[in-house]
Amino acid sequence: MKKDLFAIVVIVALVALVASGTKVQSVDDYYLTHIDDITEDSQTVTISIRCDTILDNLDKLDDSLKSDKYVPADGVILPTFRAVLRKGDTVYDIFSRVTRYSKIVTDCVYTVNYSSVYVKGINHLYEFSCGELSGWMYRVNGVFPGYGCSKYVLKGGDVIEWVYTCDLGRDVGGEFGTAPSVENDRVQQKTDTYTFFYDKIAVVSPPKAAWQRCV
Amino acid sequence: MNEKRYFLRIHPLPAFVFFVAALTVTMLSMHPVVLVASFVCAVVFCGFLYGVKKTASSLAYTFPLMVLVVLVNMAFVHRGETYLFFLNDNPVTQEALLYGVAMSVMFAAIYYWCKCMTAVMTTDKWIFLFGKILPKFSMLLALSVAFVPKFKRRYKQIDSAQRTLGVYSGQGVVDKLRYKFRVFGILVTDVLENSVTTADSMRARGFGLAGRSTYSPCDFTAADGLLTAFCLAFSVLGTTMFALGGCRIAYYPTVTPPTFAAKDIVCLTAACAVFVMPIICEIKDDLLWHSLKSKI
Repeated sequence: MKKDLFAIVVIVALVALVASGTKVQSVDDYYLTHIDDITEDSQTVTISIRCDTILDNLDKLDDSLKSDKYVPADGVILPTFRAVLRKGDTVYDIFSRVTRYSKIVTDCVYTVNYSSVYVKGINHLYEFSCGELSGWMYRVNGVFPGYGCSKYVLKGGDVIEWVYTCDLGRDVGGEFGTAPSVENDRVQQKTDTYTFFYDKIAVVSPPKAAWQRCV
Repeated sequence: MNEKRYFLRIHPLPAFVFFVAALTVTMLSMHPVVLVASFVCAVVFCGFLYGVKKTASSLAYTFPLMVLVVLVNMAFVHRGETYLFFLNDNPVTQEALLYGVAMSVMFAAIYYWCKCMTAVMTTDKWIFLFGKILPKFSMLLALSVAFVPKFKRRYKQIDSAQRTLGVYSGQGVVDKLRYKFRVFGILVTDVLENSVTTADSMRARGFGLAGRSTYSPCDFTAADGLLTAFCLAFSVLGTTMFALGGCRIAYYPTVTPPTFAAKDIVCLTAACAVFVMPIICEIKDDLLWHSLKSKI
């Protein structure tokens, strides 16, 4: 019977551990966020999210997404937004802060293979939603970096653009593999601190975008 | 198992074609009507084959698994636009819930069709169907199909042997569990070794050699031909209609309400015809048996 008691204690401890790592929020609580005010001496970056390429490939788009709600008529999901840059912010930090503030839905997964966050979907537009070569890419100051968005540390004045590609990046001018591979100083070296508790368990073989699989 | 059942007596070919058709049509569409029809028919057919009591008790452990599928889908899939709440900064959506329900019904339906298939497609039937064309494959299939009942039988034997040896300890849940693991370990080793022996023995007897003939107790009757044609026709009709856009339903980002246009109705009818077929056969067979009996 001693063993039984011990087993119960272990199970309770495990449940408590899982529960302590779980944060449940109502929808209103989640969107109750504050964004830093822009002051005179604060460094800023700008971010925009666009999906123009879908407008040229509407025939490939999933039927369930053919609506102004998901693909705006002008292709702009987030007009250029100026946000305060905190020290050490990566593209993903700014991206998640701004989308949460603007109530734009995103679906990101921590990908163990690349030790970075991969953006699967923005505003219900997912990878593969518009043909099998489609997905989200980002560029900073007009250059596609070719590595994960939570590894790219920003400097003041950087211009981040998230664009949707329907053709492995060719239609937005950044075919994968042709990107000037790495300016190493911009890659965050330390172990990534973003913890997606559930996704880490779920991602056994992390989902890859079409352009990642082609390499 | 009820040995008198009609489906246990028919030729292996129509039985095989039927199960392939039923499984294909079930996996084809996420249309709720198709899934529910498939699930209900599979359970009823299972009731005919295994008896009502056994089927009802198996539902008792299928339902918790279905709930688990729903919960896992809600925890890991963040698609959909109706948010219920946020879990670790990820949305838990109503669409993921509904998709999870549909998926769990599909899983359960497939589970019950496979359960029926185990009862109907006994190993001799697999060997009869594929022994000539794919001797190795049919042998592997026959061995693996035979595994589950063999596992059960051997488990009981090992269990009683271990008990008589005095290994069993009945104090506390942990000890009982450890004992069960011990028996399970022995079981796996035993069955694996057994299957290797079986394969060697089959080879030694010349299984799969060219020019060997096998005795087959199966006659292909007109009724068997009719059943085969029926299953093929309706599953192909259903699949074609699905390919043409019938019975389509999108769950993300919003659930589109299921449509009932001409295409959908043809697709639904074809699917339901396949699912209901074995039940009608069994009922017809029962009626025939009762009418014959009363005449004696």
